[in-house]
Amino acid sequence: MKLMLFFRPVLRQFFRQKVFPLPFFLALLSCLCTGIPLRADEGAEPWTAVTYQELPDSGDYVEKGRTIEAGPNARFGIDINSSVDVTINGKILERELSKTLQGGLSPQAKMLRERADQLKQTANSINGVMKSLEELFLLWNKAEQNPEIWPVIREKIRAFSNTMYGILVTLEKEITDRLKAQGLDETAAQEEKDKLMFPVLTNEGYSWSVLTQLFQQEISFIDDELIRLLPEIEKLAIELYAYLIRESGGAQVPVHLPLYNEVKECIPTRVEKVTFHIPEEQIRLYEQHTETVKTMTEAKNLAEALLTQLELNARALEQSIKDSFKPAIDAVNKAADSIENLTYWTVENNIDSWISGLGDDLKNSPQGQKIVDSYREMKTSLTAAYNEAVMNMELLSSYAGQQQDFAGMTPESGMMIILREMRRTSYAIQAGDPAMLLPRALHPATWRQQLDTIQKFLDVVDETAQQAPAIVSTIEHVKTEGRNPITDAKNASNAIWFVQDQLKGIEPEVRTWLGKVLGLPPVLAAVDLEPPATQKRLTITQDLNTSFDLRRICGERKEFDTVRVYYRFFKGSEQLNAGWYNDFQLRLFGWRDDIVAGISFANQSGTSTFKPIASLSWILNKNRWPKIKEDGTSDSGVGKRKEIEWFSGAGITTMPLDFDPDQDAEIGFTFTLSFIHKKILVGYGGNLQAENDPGFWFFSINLLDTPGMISPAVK
Amino acid sequence: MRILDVRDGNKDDIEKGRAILLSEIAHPSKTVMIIRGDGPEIALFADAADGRSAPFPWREVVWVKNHSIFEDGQEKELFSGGNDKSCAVMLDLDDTPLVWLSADSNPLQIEKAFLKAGGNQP
Repeated sequence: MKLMLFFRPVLRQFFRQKVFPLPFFLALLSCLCTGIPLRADEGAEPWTAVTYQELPDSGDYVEKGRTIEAGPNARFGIDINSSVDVTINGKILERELSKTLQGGLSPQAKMLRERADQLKQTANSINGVMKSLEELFLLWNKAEQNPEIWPVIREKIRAFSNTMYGILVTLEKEITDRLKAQGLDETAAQEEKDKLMFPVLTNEGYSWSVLTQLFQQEISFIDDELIRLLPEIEKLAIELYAYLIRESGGAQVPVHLPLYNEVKECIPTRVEKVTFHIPEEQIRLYEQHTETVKTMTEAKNLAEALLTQLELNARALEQSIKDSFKPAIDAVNKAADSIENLTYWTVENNIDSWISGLGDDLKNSPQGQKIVDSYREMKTSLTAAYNEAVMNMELLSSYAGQQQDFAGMTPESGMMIILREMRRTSYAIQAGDPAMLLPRALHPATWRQQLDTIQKFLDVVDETAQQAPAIVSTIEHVKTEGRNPITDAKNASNAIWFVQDQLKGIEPEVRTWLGKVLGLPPVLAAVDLEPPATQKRLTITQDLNTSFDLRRICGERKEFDTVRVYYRFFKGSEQLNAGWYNDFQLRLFGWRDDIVAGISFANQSGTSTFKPIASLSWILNKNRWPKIKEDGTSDSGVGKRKEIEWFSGAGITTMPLDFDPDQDAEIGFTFTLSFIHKKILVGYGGNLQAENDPGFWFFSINLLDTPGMISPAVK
Repeated sequence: MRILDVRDGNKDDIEKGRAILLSEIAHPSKTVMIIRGDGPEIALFADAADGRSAPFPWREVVWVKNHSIFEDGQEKELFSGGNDKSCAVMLDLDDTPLVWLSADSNPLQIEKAFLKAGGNQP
């Protein structure tokens, strides 16, 4: 329900403007922050030319490495001490890039490309047919005991047989046609084809590797032929560059990519995973907690202790939302009316009635016509810009509005919302959920893009005004229902400029805040970066392979930082609409430790009261290496969805106790279990100084684990 | 592969052979290849067919060496779609004769015949 309330203004907006949300959201998600075309034209898949090989310095893949297939703007988790080989298949790249070239392709080249695509599509179905064969065997084994599944098996046999038949026949035809084109007669071509294809059939069924290899070989032959027909391909160039982006989205460090740049490399450094090291921020947090607990009273029982913990977190969240979003909300509130006014000009009837209000003389004058035409030409993009601006504004307002909800809320319901948000966000990351629009709304570049679209229209008005100021001035005074699109566009432009300017100052902090509270991926809303100063462009016909070594990047690297690798392509100076990026999130795979500072409630054996105490916990856990085909970005290493890490390790906790009034110093030492990304800790241990009843247990809930995000004492 | 033969006109062999042939054809989820005749060429073909059937439990090859195992008119019915050279017929999942093969067919052709029969819609 909370989620619905959160998005209600946005949905209302869509309903009001009769804009179907899904395509709109998708379009918005794929649109760009800086205008750099980072998604390829429809149909072109240049990333299929790229394969990564992660070479970690220890662990499961130390000998053979881990192969990762590139994907459009995909994200992968790699070990923090790895290097990565980037292999680029030039032929595939050339074929895919040829799809982005405008015109100029001969019918023969087009035909070849279509053939290659069809062959690729058929080859892609091999994985599916392998799986369906496995399923078929499993079902067959069950059928003797369950005759009712025979009809299912028949359908599976039909599906498998048809696909496999298609695969074999397609390959057969392709090989035969090629051989005939190479000069063999029908009989010789058939014989040669059989020789090539017989090894596909084995005593076990099929050799999938031979089958795949044959397809690749045929695709490669077509690519060779295609390239010969594409002289302009020689002129295409590639730019490959990479940056290490901090989890907070703050500093970015350029990464050395041999052949492509001369970025300096540093002496290799290894990040140790089990260190017992206490990070600076946890020390500060511990000091902050020590001060906070001094003002807190003892809880009479477990329920009260739990409620106090929840209240502490809920109040901290309330304060935190207030602090983080206030400048953004102030800016948005100031700009709200101007931006909202633009929605009026997205309605066709309103535009028509304004144009008809111009009068024939004015409308038919060259200058007046130019403005009207310009508006009509850009109407679609202007409408999208208006919609986005209004939606972003409402998103920010409604999210910040949550602080009001938290203000009157019980700690329990506050906590439920926090947990639900965490869970929802963790699923939303991979699902491309509209919720991810929030970080985008916070991004100054998002607003700048809207500004640019509106500015284009205003530029036409300005240009016309220089030639015919009187006409433009008259047009500016023609109003419909008291409104004028030029005036409204100017006001909106100023308002958006103001919001963008305000966000520039606060956006990194708010993004960090969101990341901490909701577990958002750090670079989700990161600015697209320009190449480093020493960047080179290579022609795509040369050797394009490169690599990067995380250990030699000049600058500290931490878990959850990201190396973003950009691919851009050019024909002369013109950038092709074929680029993309891949994010490599740095992870600590294998055994690792963490030190966590928290406010704990400790209960001495034989008593019912709980004392608030600042604690330090050392938690050891094993983050398993991702399996083949897993992207490695989730905590459990499980690929497709980023899931909540319910159990997150075990360790020890130490805390200063004050159970015995006769003792000056008491140290508590417990064995500890941690849950939900180390946000909940539970432990049992002993008071090292106690003479009687040394045993005690404690629990600690720390949703906001960054210094400065915990509010002062609540009791 | 099921090999069906008759020893010196033995009626019992004929009856048993017919029963086996019938039960293989009647299986609800098998594509069955019926090979007819005998001789070195046929034997080679039968080996190749067995090679393409053995890995998949839903494929069966029945080699009818002696024509007397067929019921009256059955052979004609099964092989009417082929020609004189046809030594094998492929039945789809609904027991309809679909593909006919000659003894010189290679493993790829046999494989495609199995797949075609397996994928045929009623």
